[in-house]
Amino acid sequence: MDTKENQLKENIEIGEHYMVKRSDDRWHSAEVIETRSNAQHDCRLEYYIHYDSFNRRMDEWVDASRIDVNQKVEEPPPNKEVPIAIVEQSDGDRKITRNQKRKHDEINHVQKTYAEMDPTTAALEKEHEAITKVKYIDTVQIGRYEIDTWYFSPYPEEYGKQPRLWICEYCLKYMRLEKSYRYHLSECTWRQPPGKEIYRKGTISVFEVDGLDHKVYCQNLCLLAKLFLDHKTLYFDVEPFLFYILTEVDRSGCHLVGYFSKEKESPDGNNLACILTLPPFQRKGYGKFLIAFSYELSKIERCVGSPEKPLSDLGKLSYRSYWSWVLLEIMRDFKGTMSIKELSQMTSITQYDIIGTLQTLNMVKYWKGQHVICVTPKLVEEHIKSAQYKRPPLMVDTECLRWSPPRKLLKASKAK
Amino acid sequence: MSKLSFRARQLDASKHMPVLKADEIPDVPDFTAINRAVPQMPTGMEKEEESEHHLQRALCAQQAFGSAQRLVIPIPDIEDVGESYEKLYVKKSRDFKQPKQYIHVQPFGMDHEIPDYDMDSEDEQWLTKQVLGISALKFENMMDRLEKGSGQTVVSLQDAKALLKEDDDLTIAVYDYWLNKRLRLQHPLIPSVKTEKRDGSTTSNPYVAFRRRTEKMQTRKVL
Repeated sequence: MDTKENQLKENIEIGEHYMVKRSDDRWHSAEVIETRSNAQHDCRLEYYIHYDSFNRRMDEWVDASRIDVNQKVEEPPPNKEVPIAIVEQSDGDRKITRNQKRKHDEINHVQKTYAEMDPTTAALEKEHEAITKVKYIDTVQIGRYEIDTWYFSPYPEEYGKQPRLWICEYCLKYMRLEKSYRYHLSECTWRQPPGKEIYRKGTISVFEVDGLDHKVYCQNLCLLAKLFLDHKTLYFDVEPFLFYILTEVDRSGCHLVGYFSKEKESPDGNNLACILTLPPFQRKGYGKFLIAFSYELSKIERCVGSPEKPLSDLGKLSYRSYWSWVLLEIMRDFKGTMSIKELSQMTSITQYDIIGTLQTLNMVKYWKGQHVICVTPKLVEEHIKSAQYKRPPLMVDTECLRWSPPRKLLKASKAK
Repeated sequence: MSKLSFRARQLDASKHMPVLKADEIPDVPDFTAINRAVPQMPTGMEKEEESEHHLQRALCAQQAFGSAQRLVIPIPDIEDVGESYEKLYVKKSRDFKQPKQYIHVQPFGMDHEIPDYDMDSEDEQWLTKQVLGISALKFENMMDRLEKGSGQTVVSLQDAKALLKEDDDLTIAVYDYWLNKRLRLQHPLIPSVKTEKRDGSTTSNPYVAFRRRTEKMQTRKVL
C-alpha cells in the first residue's frame, strides 16, 4: 500500500487538472490546489480540489482514490465573456456598448477582471485569493447540524487548521475539542442572542445586536458567517455595524437561522452589508424574509437603500426574486401612470435596482415615442403561481416590528 | 443588413410612465426596430463568479420560467445530527419560555461567568492526579485568569497570588502547571483571532481580522 500511495503522490501535481470524483459519484475536471496530511484521518494524504466552472464553495479535500491520475486534463479555456444580462431576442440585439458599460462599472464600483486591472491591483487581488483559497476547516457542528463549510474563515490559526470545529449555537463560542463542547453545553446559560428583540411573530424572533455593545458575539458571528460567504471581509471590526439576528424559537431556545448586518452610517446608501441564511435553513424563504426586513427598516427610516456589492450568486438570485415580487405585486392590477421615483419611495428600493429589475422582467418598452411599463399576462400568471414570485412563505408583519431608527440615522436620511 | 438602431434613451426616473397590459399595446413589436429601451444595468457581481456555470443556468431559468426552483446551485453537504445533540442536552430541560415582553439583554448583562479557557485531556489527567479538591470549572477559571493576566510576558507568581486570591498551595500548584504548559506550547492557551499589530502596520495575513477602523472604511476588499 505504501508503494502505491507513494506512486500516487508522485503522479498528482499541484496546479494540474485531473478528472476527480465528486460526492455525487460523477467525474469532473478539477484543479489540484494544495495537499495536507489529515491528522483526524490517520494522517492520510489529501488533496484540495477546485472543480472547473463550479463555485469555490464546492472546493474540497479528497484522498487520492478519487483522483484519476491516468487522466490529466488540459486546463479549460477561460470563461468566454458572458453577456451582462440575457436580453430577449425580440428586443433586438440591445447589448450595452463598451463605453456605457465602463461608465456603469465606474459608477457602481463593479469588480474588474484581472485582465482589466492595473498590474499592482491584480497582483494584490490574486494574492488575497491565493491565501484564502484553501479552507482548512472542513466541517462545523452547530446546534443540531453538521455543516460542510464553503469558504476560508480566519478562526485563530490554532483552530483554523482543525478539520472540525464545534460551535455553541447560542453564544457562538467555537471549540476545537468535542469534549470542551459537551462541557460548554452543560455550562452555557444563553438561550437567545444578546441585544434587543425587535420582531416576534409565530416562531420567528429577530434581535438587533450592536457590534459595539456585544463585540465578542458579533465577532463570533462574523467568523461563522465567513465560512459561508466568499466576498465578506473581516478586515474591520464589528463596532460600526448593527446585526439583525433571525431565530426560530422553540422550547429549547432561540435557534440561529440567519442574519444580516448593516452599517450604522453608510456613505454609499447601503441598507444591508452582509446577509446569510445558514445552509440547513436555505431555500425555505428565510433569505427573502431578511431582505424584506432590511427594506422595512429603510421604510421606517424614510430612505432608500441597496445591498452592498458585490453580490454572491445566491444573493443575486434572492434579491432579484424579492425585487421582482415586490414590483409585480404593485403592477399586476395597477392602472394609470407611475414613475420610477414613486416606486422607489413606496418600496425603499433604489431607482437603479428598480430599473434593473424591470429590465430583467422585460417590462420596459419603448412605444410611440415614450417609455411604458408593460405587464404581460404571462408574468402575472407566473407571479401568482410560481414558487419564485409567489408570496414568500415568511412575510414581515410590520405590526410585530418594534423599532425606531437611531437618531443619527434619521438626520442622515433626511438630507437625502 | 444592419438593423436601424438608436441610442438607448435613459429612463427619466421622475417621469410618469403608463403602466399597460400587453394587449393594450399589441403593436409593440413594430417599435422594436427603433427600440430605445434603457441600457442594461450592471449586475453588481464579480465577473469571474458571474460566469459560473450553475449561476448562469439558474439566472436563465429565472428569466425564462419565472423560477430557478429546479435548477439549484449546488452547495456542500449538511447532516442533521439532532438525535445526538438532544442527548448532549439531557441536562437541559426544554424549559425555555419567551417572556411576554420582547427580550432586551443589556450589554454586559450576559457577561461571561463561563471561563474562555477550555480544559483538554492533559488538564483532566493532571487535575485527577493532583487531588486538589477543586472542580473542573474552578480550574478553568484559574487558568482563564492566568491567561488573561498575561500579555506578552507571563504573570509572576506574586501577581498570580493576587490575581487568584486562593490559598498558596493551590495557587502554586496551578500556577506551576500553567507556566509549564505555556512555556512548552509557546503560544497563548486561549487562542484568539489575531488583530492588528501594535505598530498598526497592515499585513496581508488572512488570519488578521477585526482591525480598528481608520479614516476611510472599506467594507469590501480593495477594488
